[in-house]
Amino acid sequence: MDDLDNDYDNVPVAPGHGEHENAESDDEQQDWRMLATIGSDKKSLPKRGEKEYEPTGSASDRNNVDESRQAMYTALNGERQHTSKVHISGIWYPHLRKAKVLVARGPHFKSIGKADSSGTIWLLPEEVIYLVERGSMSLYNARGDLKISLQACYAACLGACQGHERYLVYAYLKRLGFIVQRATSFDESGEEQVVQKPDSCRIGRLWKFLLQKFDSFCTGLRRAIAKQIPSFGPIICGGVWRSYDSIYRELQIIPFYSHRGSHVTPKSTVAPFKVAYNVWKPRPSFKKSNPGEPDFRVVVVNAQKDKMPTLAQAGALLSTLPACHDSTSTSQERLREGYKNVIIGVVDYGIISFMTLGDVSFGDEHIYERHTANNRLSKYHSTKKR
Amino acid sequence: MKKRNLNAIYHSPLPVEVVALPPLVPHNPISVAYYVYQLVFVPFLWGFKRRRRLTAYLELYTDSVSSYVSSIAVDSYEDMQELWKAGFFGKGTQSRSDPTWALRTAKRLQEASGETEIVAPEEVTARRRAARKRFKNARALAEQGVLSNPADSEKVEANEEPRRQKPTRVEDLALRDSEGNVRQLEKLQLTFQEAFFLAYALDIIDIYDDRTGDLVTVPYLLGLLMPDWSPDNSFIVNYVVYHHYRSHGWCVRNGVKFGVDYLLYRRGPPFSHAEFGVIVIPLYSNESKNQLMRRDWYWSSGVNRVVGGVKKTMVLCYVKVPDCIDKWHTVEELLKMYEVREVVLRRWIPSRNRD
Repeated sequence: MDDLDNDYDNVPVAPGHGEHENAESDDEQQDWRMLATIGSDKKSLPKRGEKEYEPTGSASDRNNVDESRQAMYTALNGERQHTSKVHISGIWYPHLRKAKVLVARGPHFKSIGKADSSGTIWLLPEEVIYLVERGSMSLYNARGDLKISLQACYAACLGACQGHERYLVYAYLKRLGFIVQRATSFDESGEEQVVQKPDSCRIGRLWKFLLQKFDSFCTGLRRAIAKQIPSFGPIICGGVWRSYDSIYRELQIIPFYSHRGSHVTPKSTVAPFKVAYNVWKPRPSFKKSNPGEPDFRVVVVNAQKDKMPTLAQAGALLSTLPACHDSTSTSQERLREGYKNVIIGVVDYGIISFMTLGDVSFGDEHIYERHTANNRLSKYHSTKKR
Repeated sequence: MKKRNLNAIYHSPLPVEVVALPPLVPHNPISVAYYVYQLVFVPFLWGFKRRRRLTAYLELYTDSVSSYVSSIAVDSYEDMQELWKAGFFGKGTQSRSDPTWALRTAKRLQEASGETEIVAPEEVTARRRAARKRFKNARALAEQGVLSNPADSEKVEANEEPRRQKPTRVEDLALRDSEGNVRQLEKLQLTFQEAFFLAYALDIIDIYDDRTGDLVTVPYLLGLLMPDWSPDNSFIVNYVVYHHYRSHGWCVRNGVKFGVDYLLYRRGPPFSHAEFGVIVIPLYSNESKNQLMRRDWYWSSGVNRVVGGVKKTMVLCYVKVPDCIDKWHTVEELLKMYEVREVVLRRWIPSRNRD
């Protein structure tokens, strides 16, 4: 079944969609006829089919749909098998809320389980349910004499997973091939440990400060000359303005939350707005002992019980995260993704919808500066017109 | 179709004139002299020059209890064009956005034969839709096997859409004035935030009361727009957001068509689609009030799908509302009592974020 996951890699990307790709719908119709061409040779699985736009109601259209449906039935009729070579067995210890692995075989252990000092591998409850559910593992009771059914496995392990929603999100991401591990803030008491990088650009800040002082001095002078300091504006007085940059700087009177120069102290988060899982993209070089920075951090909420976070809750959650963009990113990337972001898995009766919550500050991005730079302006223009 | 030079038409991002300093070449005495002239004398000469001011009219609606502003609009053609071209303010009351009604009407009345230059965005859309319809009809016929030769489909198309000659209507005669020019019946309607920004921050517009003809001063305008003076008055909260994005170089336009409060364009509608849809959320110092005002995930999912479907990103813009707004001397101080913070919300699709 791992082949199926890898197969998504070969989906061709439509030209010109690039950055917007992940915003598009993934609810495409599957063309099952691909399965019919495979026959007995199961080495390569099909690629996803083309989306068929606007059915015209013609005979050939109906024929295509019928063929596809028949191919799906044929595929579902096939016998499903597992090889004994990679079958895992383990024992569930209810008081530890963990399962001990007796025979550790197969590729799963690259990213699943944790070995103790004696070399025994232990599995967390969600890992146990996931493996048993996909048929890769047989689970036994503590005495080791009774094989636990899937139903009993759910009954035994689900309580230790911190909610059904969390297991659903875990299993969903695992099935898609991601590497998923519990974050330190998984439990109620745990807090995510984040190393905040110190701000190194002091001279830049000093220069900016001096520039701002000079600007405000100029404004004062301008107003003194114009002899108008009325209570009701204006901000942009008459007289000569040398550039739109200076006008924009003058207009910037609304205080905003800035990400530059301020040191964020992590605040304590409250369930459910805590990072539950760290997620890595599938990679062959992944090491359980040294996983590195996760690609994504996932929070799980229940759509029925939990509403959207207030800014205080969201801010506390975001304050525990490290910044994710380096200095090479463009302002567009930073504004779309946020300086830091977290993924929220919203579970509603088993249906999972993911959203990214990103921390941005439009005030930190000086997009107006391009109005004066003509060369940059024309460059921007040519890329925008496709 | 001839591509218009957008940079030349919409060269300034705000309706304020800017006189740039010339480049300074230190070893060239002429350059230095010219630079000094620009630096010292031009501001002096400008001291005598009055800035061109635009005129808008405010309509008050009065009932037995109180009176409130029903609309603020500009009706001079030059002012409308300036406001649209420099910063994309307002909306033409007879047009989709750009006030093009007079141009379109003049063209229609001319009964121009053949292709003329395309002027209005409405026309571009209409032509594109007609072309798409023709293409779909031809394709449907080809699918059904009615036509095998593509040349036949051209014939069908020609038969279906004959060039219609529109007769002149009686009411069209009233559209022209005595000199034969089309009367200017369109106005450019401004949102209250736009009007306040132009009047207070940029100080380039004079607003007059439609009935009395009196000048509406900025303090009076502010009193009309936020009659209750409550800190979370929707006008002031929205104005803070509007001013914030305008002051950082964004072109801010109304977003009701996409279920958001504001749309943010990097330069303006003719250049590119809006990149962000902004939702304004007041934030109180009382956390339990914020808890009560929380929205559910169905709402965010709905807005996100609409906004994401047109390739925009949803921005939640929180405005920290002060407890009391009685103590201020200038409007600037009043606005500085508020603070904004943004959070972006985007749909995340696992299978598309794996590689």
